[in-house]
Amino acid sequence: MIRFDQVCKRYPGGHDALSEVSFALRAGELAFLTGHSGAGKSSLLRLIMLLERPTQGQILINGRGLGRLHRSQIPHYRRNIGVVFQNHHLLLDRSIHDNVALPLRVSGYRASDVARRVRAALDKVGLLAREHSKPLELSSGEQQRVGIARAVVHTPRILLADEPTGNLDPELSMEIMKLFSDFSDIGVTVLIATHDIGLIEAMGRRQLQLRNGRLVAGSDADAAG
Amino acid sequence: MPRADRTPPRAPRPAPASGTRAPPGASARRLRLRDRFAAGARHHRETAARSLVRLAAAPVQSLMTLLVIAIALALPTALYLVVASLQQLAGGLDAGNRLTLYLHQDAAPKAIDGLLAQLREHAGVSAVQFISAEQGLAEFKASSGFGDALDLLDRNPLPPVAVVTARDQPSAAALTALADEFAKLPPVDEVQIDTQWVARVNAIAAIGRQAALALAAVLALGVLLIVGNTIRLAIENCREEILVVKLVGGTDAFARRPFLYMGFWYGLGGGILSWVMVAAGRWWLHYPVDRLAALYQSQWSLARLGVVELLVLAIAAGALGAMGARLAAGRQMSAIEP
Repeated sequence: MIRFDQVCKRYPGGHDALSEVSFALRAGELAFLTGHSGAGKSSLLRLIMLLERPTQGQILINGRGLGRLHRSQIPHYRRNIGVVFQNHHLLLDRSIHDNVALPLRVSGYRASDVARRVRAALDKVGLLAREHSKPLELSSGEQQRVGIARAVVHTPRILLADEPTGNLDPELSMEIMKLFSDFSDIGVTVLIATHDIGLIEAMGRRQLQLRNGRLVAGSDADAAG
Repeated sequence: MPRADRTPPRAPRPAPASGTRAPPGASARRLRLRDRFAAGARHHRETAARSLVRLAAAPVQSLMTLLVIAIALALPTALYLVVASLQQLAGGLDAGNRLTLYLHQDAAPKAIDGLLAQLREHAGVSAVQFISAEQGLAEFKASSGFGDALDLLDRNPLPPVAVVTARDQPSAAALTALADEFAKLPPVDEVQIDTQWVARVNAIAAIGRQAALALAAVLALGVLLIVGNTIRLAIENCREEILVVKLVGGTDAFARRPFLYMGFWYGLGGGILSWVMVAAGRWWLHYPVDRLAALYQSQWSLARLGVVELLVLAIAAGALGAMGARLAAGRQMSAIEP
């Protein structure tokens, strides 16, 4: 589903964020992306989201090279990806319901579908009761869960998460991880960037470890992908 | 809702949101065209309403912008009103087909009768009105207030006058030919055509019309820039929202739409407000103008701003606003990238 082929990303100024990164994730696979801050985790996620283009190498999503995608096709491509952001990226002037509904609205879903899906997604993260609240009325952990609901509301094929448990207590973190694991069970490819070693060990899933932009572990486990 | 409520938050294997198993993401592409259209229309409605609410959320700032737009639009509209009034003035009076024949003071009554009969039978004449020297003096006494002074005169200084109205509306050349023809008749001393001032008023109206057009063009550009600048600031304030929309797969057009509606509302509101301003100005002026017209025994009044003008103003201004917003949003939207 996700395949990196000798991908390099060099930022203007000569800093190499990623060097010769190659790996492949199967559909429905759940993997952790680890490494110190600055190791290139965010850059890797940004490349998958097409927020940036690689300097060298190729990224294939579902067998399709991202390099060929025209700028105007990027929004449609992004609708197949759900992203949980570290800093939530919620719209503070809109209700929780409206925030979660946004991915459906940009894709032109019917009103009845929007309502149904939003409620189902909020229910899954245990926030159905807060549907009409504004983000700032929620705790940081709850906001994080709203972000997760928004990332999965349109049933994306790929779910990316950047430090999704950064603001959560261990118990809640485990719950969220369970949720991610459930998604991978039904065929969603999940890639989670995290520092939380305890959590990774508890889950016992594949680990892609980055160090100074190079993949030092987890690359060949599934190279055939 | 009740179904969703019964689902425990941590079901062993919950399907994500949709409840369908596979393939994830395919449902978005399976949306039918008609559904897409309905969803699009709904989105437009919601976006338009939300933009309006957003304007209302900052009433003072919005009102200021509206006022600036309204004033810019009111100037050419007022000029248009003046021009329309002038044209009404020039067109409303049929002075353009009237000739005043001043007769010799010593013309014999018999010669005058002959002349009047001749004029009445003329093919190019529709009416003839004779004002004798005595009548003229009496009228003058009554209207000028020089009554006593006029009594001191030992003889009536006014000539007898025949006012001839030409049939239909002859061209200026035809009227001049008619005047030349009548000037040759024996008792006629002098013929005066009343077309000159009509031509002048028309010329002034033409200048006014051109000026109104030029002013409208310049001020339309002004409105474009005002709305553009306002929208630029609004976009800057909504940076986060645009970023999120783009992150979840919204197109530039989707992210731009609320701002186009905002521009449209600014234009529409400014257009309506400018109509109100000019209509109020007209109301303020029309009493003195009517009084002045009455002094000239004229039915003339200031042209009215009607519903048609309101519609034209509102729609044109709304379109201008949307255009200004589009110009401002075009560059900026592609500059805001996550």
